[in-house]
Amino acid sequence: MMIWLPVLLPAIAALSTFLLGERRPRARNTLNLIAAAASVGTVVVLVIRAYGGEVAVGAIPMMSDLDLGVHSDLTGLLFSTVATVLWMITLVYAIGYMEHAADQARFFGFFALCIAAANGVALATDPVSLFVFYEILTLTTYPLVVHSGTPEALAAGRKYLLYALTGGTLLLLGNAWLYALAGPTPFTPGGALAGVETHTTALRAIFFLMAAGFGVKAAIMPLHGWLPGAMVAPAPVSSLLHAVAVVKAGVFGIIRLINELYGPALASSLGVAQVLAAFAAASIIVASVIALRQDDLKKRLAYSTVAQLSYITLGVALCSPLAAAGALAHLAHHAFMKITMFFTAGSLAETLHVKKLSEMGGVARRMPVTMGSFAVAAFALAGIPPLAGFASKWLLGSGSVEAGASWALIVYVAAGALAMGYMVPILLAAMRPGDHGAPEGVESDPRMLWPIVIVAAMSIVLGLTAGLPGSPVHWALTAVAPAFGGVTP
Amino acid sequence: MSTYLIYAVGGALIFSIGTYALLAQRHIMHKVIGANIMGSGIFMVLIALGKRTPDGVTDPVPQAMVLTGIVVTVALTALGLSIAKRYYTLTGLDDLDQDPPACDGR
Amino acid sequence: MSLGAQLPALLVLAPLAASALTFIAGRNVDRYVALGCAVVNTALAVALAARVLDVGAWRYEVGGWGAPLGIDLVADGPAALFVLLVAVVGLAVTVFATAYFHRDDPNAYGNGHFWTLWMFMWTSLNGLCLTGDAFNVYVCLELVGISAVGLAALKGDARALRAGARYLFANMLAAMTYLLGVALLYSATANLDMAMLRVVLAEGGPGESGAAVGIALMVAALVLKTALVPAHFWLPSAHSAAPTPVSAALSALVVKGTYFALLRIVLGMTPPGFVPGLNVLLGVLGAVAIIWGSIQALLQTRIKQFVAYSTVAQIGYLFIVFPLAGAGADVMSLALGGVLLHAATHGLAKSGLFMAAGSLMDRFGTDDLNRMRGAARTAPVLTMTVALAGVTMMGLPPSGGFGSKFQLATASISTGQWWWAVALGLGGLLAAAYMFRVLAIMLSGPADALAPADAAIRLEWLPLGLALAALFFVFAAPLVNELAAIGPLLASGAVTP
Repeated sequence: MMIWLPVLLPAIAALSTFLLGERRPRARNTLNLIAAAASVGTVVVLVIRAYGGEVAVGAIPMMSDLDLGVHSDLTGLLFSTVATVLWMITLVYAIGYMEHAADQARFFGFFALCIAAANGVALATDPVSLFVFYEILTLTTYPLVVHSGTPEALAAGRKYLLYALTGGTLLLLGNAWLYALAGPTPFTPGGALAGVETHTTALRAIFFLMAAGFGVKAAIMPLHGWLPGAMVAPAPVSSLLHAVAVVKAGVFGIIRLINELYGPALASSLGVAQVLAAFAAASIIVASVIALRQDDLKKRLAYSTVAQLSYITLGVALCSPLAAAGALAHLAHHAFMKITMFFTAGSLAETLHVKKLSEMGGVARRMPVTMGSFAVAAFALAGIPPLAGFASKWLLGSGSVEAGASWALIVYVAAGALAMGYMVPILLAAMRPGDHGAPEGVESDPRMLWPIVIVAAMSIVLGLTAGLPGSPVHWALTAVAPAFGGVTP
Repeated sequence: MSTYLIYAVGGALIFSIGTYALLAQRHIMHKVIGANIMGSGIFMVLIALGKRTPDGVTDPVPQAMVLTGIVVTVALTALGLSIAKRYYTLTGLDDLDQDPPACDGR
Repeated sequence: MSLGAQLPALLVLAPLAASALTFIAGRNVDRYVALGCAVVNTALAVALAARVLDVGAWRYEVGGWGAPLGIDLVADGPAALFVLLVAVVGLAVTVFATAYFHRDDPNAYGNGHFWTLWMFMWTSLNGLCLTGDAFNVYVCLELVGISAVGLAALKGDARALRAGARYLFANMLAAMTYLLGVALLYSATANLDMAMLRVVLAEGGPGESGAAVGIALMVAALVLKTALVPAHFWLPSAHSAAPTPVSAALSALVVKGTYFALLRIVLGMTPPGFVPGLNVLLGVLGAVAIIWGSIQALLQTRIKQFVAYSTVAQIGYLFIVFPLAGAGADVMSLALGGVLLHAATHGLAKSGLFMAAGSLMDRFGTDDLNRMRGAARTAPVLTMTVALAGVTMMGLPPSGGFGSKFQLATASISTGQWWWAVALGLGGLLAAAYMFRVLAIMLSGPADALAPADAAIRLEWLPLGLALAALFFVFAAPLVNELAAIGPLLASGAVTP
C-alpha cells in the first residue's frame, strides 16, 4: 500500500483542491503543503528501505496479463525524490507567485496531478505502466500550459499536444508491438528481452518508436519544438514541469528503455544506442548555440534545458556504467540548478516585469540575493567545481572515456564552454547599470525568495557531498550497477 | 419455369422497384410507399420459398416470417405517415431535401 | 428450471411491462415506474452477468419449443456485458431524464411519451442482445428502430421531424434489406438459429452462394443501422436533433445494439471467409470511419453535431475485430475483448459527453461551440466531464479506450496486419485534435454569458460520474476479457476453417 502513496497523495491533494474550488484558498494551500510533506516523508522511507535492499511492489490488474504496477527501486526513487522534494519547494513559491491570479484551484489541482503522474512514471514496473503515467502527465500538463487562456498560450498548448501526443502514439505502437512480440516485459536491470533477441529488425523498430516517444518530452532535437513555446506557462509550471517533472519523465523513460528494458549490452549490439547518442550529441551542441542567441530569458533557459537533457540521454546511450550513473546523477543535479534559474526568471517577471536580457540592467543591485542564487546555479550548470554540475559531468566525462567514446568527451567539454557562454551574459546583463532602483528590505515576496535560496544552496550542498551515501552521485552509482552486471563502479 | 421461381424473380423485381422509390423519390409519401413495395417484394420471395421443400409440404416458417414482416411494415408505415403529416402541418413541405424555416432547438 | 435460468426472459419482460405501465400511468407516476424498472433491470443485468461468470453460457427456449422451430435466447458473456451496459447507461439516462423533463412543465415535449418509448426501446435492446435467432434479430432491430425514431422526433419541431424522418427511412431501407437477406439465407439453409446455422454453413453445400448473398445483405443492413461510414449520413442529424437524454441513449446504446447483432452474425454465425472479402471490407470501412468521422468532428461548429460525429469515428474502432477473425484463439481473445471493452467504455463516456454537451447548450442558450468560451471557469463540472470523456475518445490511459486500443493494436500486430494499429494510432491523434479544439475554446477567456446552473445536481454530476467510470474503465478489462471468452462468439470467431 505504501508504495502507492507517492502517486496517491498528490492525486488526493488534487481531488480535494478541485472540490474546494476557489472558496478556501488557505485551506487549499495548507492541504497541498501537507500532502507534499507527506509525499516527501513517504519517499524518504521508501529510499531508506530500498538502500537496505527492500523493494516494495504494488500492482493492480489492468488487461489480460498486464498489471498497472509500481515498485520502489533506487533508479525510480531518485526521480521520484527529486520530483516530490521540488514539488514541496515549488508549492511555496507558487503560492506566492499565484497570489492574485485567477483559477487557482485549477492550477494547483492539475499541478498536483502532474506530480502524481511523474511519480508514477518514476516508479512504474514495466513499459505499459510507464506509458499509462506518461500519457496522464501529458494530459495534466496541458491545462497548466494554457492557464492564462490567451491566444498565445492556447497556441503553445496546441503545439505541446501535437508533439506530446504524437510521441505518445509512437510509444503506444512500440508497446503494442513489444507486447505482441514478447508478452509482458517488466523492467529488469540489464535487460528484459531474453529469448527474443533474435528478432533484431523488430527490436530495432520498437526501440526507435519508444525512443521517439520519450524523445519528445526529453526534447531531443528535432523533437524539441514544443519546449520553448510552452514557456508561456506561469513560472512555477516552467520551473517544476518544464525543468523537472515533464522533461525528466522523457529522459527517465530513455534510461529505463536502455538500462532495464533492452539492457546496455543489447542496445549497443543492436546499434540503436549509438544512433540515439548521435542525436543527443547533436542536440547538445545545436541547442547550446541557439541558447547563445536568445534575448528572452525563459527561452534562453529553455534551450539550455534542451542541451542539458541531451547530456543525460547521451550518457545513457553510451552504455557504460560510469556514464549511465553520471546521467542519472545529472537528472537530479540539473533539476536543482535549472529550477533555481526558472524561479529567478519568474521573480524578475513578477516583481520587476523583466523578461528579456536587454531589460535586465540593474536587477543585480535591486535583487542581490536572488541574482546571487542565480549565479551559483549558473556556475554549477557550467560545471565549475565543487558545485553539483561538476560532479555529474565528471562522471559523464569519465564514462565517455570508459566507453571508448572520446568524441563524447569532446562534446561534453565543448558544451561546458558553451554553457559558460550562454550563462555569463545573463549575469553580465544583470550587473549592467539600470533603473530598477536600490535594494529594498525584501527583494520579492518572501515565499518566492526563500525557495530560490534553498534550491541554490542545494546546488552547492549536492556538489560538496557527492560521493557520500545518499548523495545523487553515490545513489546513481548504486542504482545503475545491476544493469551492468552488479559491479559498483 | 416453375411457379415458385416466377414468384421469387417477380418478388426480387418488385423489391428493386421499391428500393429505387425509397432512395430516389423526394416526396415523403412516395418514400413510405416505396418501402411498402419493397416489403411486398420480399413477402413474395418468402411465400415462394415456402413452397420449395423436398417432400412437397408447405414450410410454415416463411409464412410466419411474412406475417411478422407485415406487422412490422404496418408499424413503420404508420410512424412514417404520422411524421409526414406533422411535418407538412408545421412547415408546409412534403420534401425532406428542402430546408425547413428556421426553428429553435433545445 | 431455476429462477436464474429465466433471467433472459425477465430482462425482456420487465421493461416491456414498464413500458405498458408508463403508458397508462399518469404524469405524476410514469417517471417513477420507469425509474423503478431501471433499477430492477440493472439488478437483473448484474445477476445475468454474475450467473454467466458462474455457470457459463446457456440457452433459454422461449415457450419451451426449442430451436429450430422455436426461438432461443442466448445468455453468454458478450450478451451479458451488453445487457449490463444497456442497464448502467439506461439507469443513468433515466435518472438524468427525471431532471431534464420537468414534471410541472405542461408544455415540455415528451412528457407523455418519453417514458413509454424509452422503456420500449430498452425492451428491444435487451431482446436484440439476447436473441439467438436470425429472424428474431430482424424483429428486435425494427422495435429498436421504431422506438428510436419516435424518441429522436420527440420534440416535434420541424428539425426533429426532418431528422426523425430521415432516420426512419434509413431504418426502412435497412429493415427490408435485412429481411431479404434472411429470406435468402433461409432458402439456402432452412434454418434461422444462429448457432445451428454456424454448423450448417461450415459444412457448405449447394445453397452456399445463396446463403453468402443473404449474409452479405444482412450485414449491409446492419452496417447501415450501425452508421458505419459511408452509411452514417442519418446519424448526426438524428442524434443531435433529439432531446439530450435521447441523444445519449441513441449514441451510447442503439448503435451498440445493432453492432452486437453484427458481431453475432459475422463472428458467431458465419465461418471466416464464407463471404469472400467481407471481413476485410468491414475492417477497411472501420478504418475509414475512424479517419473520416474524426475529420468531420473537427469541422463541426455545433456542439451536438460535434459529439455525434465523434460517435461516427468511434464506431469505426469496433470494426477492426472483423479482419482479425480466424487468426487463432489468442489473437481473437485480445481483439474481441478489445472491441467489447471499447463498446462498453464508449457507451459510458459518450452518454456522459452528450449529457454534458446538452447541459452546456442549455446554459449558454446556443449550440454554437465558438460561443462557449470560458466554460472552464463558469461551468467547471461540465467542462471537466467533456475533458474526461475526451480522454476516453482519444483512447488515452487509464480509460477503457486505451485498453481497447492496446488490445486491438497488439492483436493486429500479432497477425502481421500492423496497418490496423496505425489506423488506431492515427484515430487517437485525430480524436485529440477534435477534443482539444473544443477544450481550448472552453479554456479561453473572456467568458461568454451563460444561465445559472439548474438546481438539479444530477444534471451536472451524473455525466461526470459516467465520464469518470469510463476514465478508469481499463481496470475493468480483466472482467470484460473474461466475459468475452464465455460463449460461442470467441470460440467460433477464432477457428480457422
